[in-house]
Amino acid sequence: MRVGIARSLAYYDYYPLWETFFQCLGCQVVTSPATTPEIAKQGIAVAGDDVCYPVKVMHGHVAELANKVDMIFVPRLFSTAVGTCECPKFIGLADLLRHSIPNLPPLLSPYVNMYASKRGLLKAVFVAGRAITFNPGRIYGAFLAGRQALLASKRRLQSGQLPGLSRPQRGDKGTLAVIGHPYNLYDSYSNLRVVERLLQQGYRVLTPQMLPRKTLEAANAQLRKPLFWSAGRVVFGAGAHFATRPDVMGIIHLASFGCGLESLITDMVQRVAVKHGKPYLLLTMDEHTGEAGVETRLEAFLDLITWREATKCG
Amino acid sequence: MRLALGIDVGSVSTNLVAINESGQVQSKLYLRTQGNPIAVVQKGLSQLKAQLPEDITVVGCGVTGSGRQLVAHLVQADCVKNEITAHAMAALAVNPKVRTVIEIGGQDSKIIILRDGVVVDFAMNTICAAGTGSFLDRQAARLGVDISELGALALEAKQATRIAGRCAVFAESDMVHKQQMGHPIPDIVRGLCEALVRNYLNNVAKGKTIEPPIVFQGGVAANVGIRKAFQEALQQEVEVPEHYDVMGALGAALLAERATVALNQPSRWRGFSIAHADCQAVSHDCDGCANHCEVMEFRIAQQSVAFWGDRCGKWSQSSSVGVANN
Repeated sequence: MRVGIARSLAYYDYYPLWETFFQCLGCQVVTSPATTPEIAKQGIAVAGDDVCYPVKVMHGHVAELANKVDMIFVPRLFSTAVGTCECPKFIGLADLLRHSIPNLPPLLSPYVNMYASKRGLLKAVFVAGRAITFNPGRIYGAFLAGRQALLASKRRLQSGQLPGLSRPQRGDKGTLAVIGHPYNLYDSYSNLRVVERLLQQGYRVLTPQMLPRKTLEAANAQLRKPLFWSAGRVVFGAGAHFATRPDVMGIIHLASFGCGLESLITDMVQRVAVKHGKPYLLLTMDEHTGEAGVETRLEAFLDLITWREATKCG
Repeated sequence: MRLALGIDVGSVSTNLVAINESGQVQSKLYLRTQGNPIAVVQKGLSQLKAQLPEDITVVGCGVTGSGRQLVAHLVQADCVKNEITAHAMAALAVNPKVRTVIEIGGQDSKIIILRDGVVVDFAMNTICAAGTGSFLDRQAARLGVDISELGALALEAKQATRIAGRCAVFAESDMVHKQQMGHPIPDIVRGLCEALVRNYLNNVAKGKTIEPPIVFQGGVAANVGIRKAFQEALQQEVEVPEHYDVMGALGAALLAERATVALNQPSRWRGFSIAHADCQAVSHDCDGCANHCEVMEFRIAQQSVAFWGDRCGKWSQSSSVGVANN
């Protein structure tokens, strides 16, 4: 059986788990290619107009897979950590896709709810596995192997290696933190190559995924009330942590224009950055492909940092 | 006479400045871009040449503004810089103590925060062009007022009509509504100025500490109504420099001087003859890979001189002439 996985949204958090899981169950995993203008265009054409740009791009990826696979894996992510929720668009994603894109193969969308307990994940694992086999031992074995793969990829990230990057980071110009949702940080087309440009110019790039969970939790502890969204905890926690790090010369926040969560988090991170005197740049992305706006802001921000560092050294 | 040139190619206006060795503005031009940056820069260069004495040597040429990449190829600039850095340089030249720069142009508005002569923070308007020059232009045209008289009109107002400044579309419908209710035009214009300033302070300057000295530059600084509205909203003196309308170009010229004279480097500048050459930019979609980059090509007298816009470098690295990027 061929299982399709869209290279979009939660892919950037969980792909190693999903891939290994389905491969262990004897499936062939087909992943959509990195976002191209064609995929984005297709997504914009079929998606409802009030969803955010990344969800539109997701539609394009799923449409791309439509006639290449027997089913497409789009889990219904309600809660991926105890006491937190995912964005409503993640929760309803499978329904959005099913109603927007004609002639889709069946969508495999197990309900993932870890709000009350981590064990909620196992329920979803068995629902997903039963679409392929009725042998619970095999399903559990595939899940364990998948979890190993996910942990290994997390370790690679925490050691500072960016996904999809073969060369080690040069970092001779210094270190910058780039924060935001993983699907904005690691999708080079959607972020107008911001991370790529920084690497090319010789900056070392740190992302939230490179931080251990404990660090994020500690940074979140300064809030009077824990954030509701799991993604928000990661982005805010990373931003608040990087703001205090002496080796980080500045924070670049990549946000989607239509993102309700980011509309709050960007302001919260900015306040912490100002408090610690850390340069902060907010880049709001949408459907535009013109790179001039991003180029200008990024160049000015790097000028600011260079200028600042130069005066610091006397 | 040894001069450095600065060119700021903006969405609405294109400005040229020539400065002498002591950094003083020798000659300046403010032209409307009108959708054709190449032609307007060529026109500007020949006009500038006519204004300047015969015996001049250009020791450096800098470009800035949203059209900087294109024009950099046209003139072979020594320095291609973003507008933030250029505006900050110019403001520092005018007032070395400046701590806040407010710049409002055609489609952009920015705030630059400086401390001890160094940029420490900046922001630009995000997606929306509400509260920029284009919007004022449009409203002036709709009211049948010349844009240069809009500010003076606002000063005649007895009071300000309340206008929603959040969005250009809503502001316009609000203005039409107030006008139909019978509010006098000067009051509406003053209300518009206040709404624009409010919008700027709430959006662009959000979360920034505005400290004096404050320098207000960009085309919109010509508008005395906006100036007054800023002074009232900030309760601070707002300084408008003599060459407020060409500060980007002035900054580019200063940066070019730094890149050439200060480093003892010769200028790459193509010369004034380019004003009369047959120049053309064309684009095509590269089908080398799935990225389908829009590749730009620049031709002088039908000869390709530069390519850019490709992600992989297949075209740009084949260019016979690169462009300085410092």
